[in-house]
Amino acid sequence: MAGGRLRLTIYFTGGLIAILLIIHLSLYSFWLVEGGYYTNMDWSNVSNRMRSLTWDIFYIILLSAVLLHSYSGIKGILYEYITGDRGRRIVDIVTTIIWVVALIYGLIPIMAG
Amino acid sequence: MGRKSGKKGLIGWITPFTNIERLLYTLHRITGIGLTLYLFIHIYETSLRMYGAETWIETVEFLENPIFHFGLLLVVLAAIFHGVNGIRLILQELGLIAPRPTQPVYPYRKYHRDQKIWRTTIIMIILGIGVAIFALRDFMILLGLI
Ligand code: HEM
Repeated sequence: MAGGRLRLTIYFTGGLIAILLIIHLSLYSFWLVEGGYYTNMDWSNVSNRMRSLTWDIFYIILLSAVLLHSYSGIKGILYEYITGDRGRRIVDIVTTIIWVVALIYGLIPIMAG
Repeated sequence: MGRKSGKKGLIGWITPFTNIERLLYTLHRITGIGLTLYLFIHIYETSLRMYGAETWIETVEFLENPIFHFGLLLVVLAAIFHGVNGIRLILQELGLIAPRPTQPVYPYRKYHRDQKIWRTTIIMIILGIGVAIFALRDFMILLGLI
C-alpha cells in the first residue's frame, strides 16, 4: 500500500465515496423506490436528472472522488512492484493519461445534459 | 530509507491466509481492481444517455438479461465488501478501533490490538451481510426469482 499523500487521498476519498454511494445505489433499490431499478433506468427519470443542477453537482463530486480514489489506489499498487525512478515516471504518465481521459469522458454527458 | 519492492511480490497476495487481516487485504485489493475496471465500463455505458432517448432505451434493453444482472450483482457485492472493509481501515487508521501500533519496547506490554481487530472485523462482517441482504433481494427481483 502506498505511503504519504497517495494514502491520505485514498482514505479521504474512500470516506466520501462511502456516503455518496449510499445515495447513488439507493435509487435502484426496490425497498426504497417504487419500481426500483426499472424506475431509475426509465428515460423520463434519467432525463430529469440530466437537467437538474443538483444532480449534476452530485455526479461531478462522485465522479471526481471515485476517479481520484481509483487513480491513487492503482498507482499505489503499481508503485509496489515498479520501484525505479524511470518506471515510476512511466506509471505516472500512463495512469494520468488514462484517468484524465476517463474524467473528461465522464464530465461531458453531465455538462451536456 | 531507499525504495524497497514488496517483500513477497504477487505471491504475497495468495499465500496461505494465516490471519484474517491478510485475507481481507487480498480481497480488498482484488475488489478494488475489479471495481476500477467496472468504473470505466460504467462511465462509457452511462455516457450513452447523451445521445437521447432512443439510444438510452436500446442500451437498457441490451443490458436487460440475466447475465448482465448477475454480473451487476457481483459488482455490487464487491462494492459492499470493499466499502465496509474500507470503513474498517479508515476507522483503524484514525485510531478509533484499536490503539495505533507502537514500537515494541522492552519490557513488552500485553498487546490488545489483535483482540480488538477481531471484534471490529466481526462487527464489520455483520454490517456487510446486512447490506448484502438488502442488495440480494433487489437482484432476486431483477433476476425474476421472487
Ligand atoms: C465504498 C466506498 C469505498 C471505501 C470506503 C473505500 C476505501 C478504501 C481504502 C481505505 C483503501 C486503502 C486500503 C489499504 O489501506 O490498503 C482503498 C483502496 C482501494 N480502493 Fe477503495 N474504497 C471505496 C470504493 C472504491 C471504489 C468504488 C473503487 C473503484 C472504482 C475503489 C478502488 C480502490 C483501489 C484500486 C484501491 C487500492 C487497493 C490496494 O492498494 O490494495 N474503491 N479503498
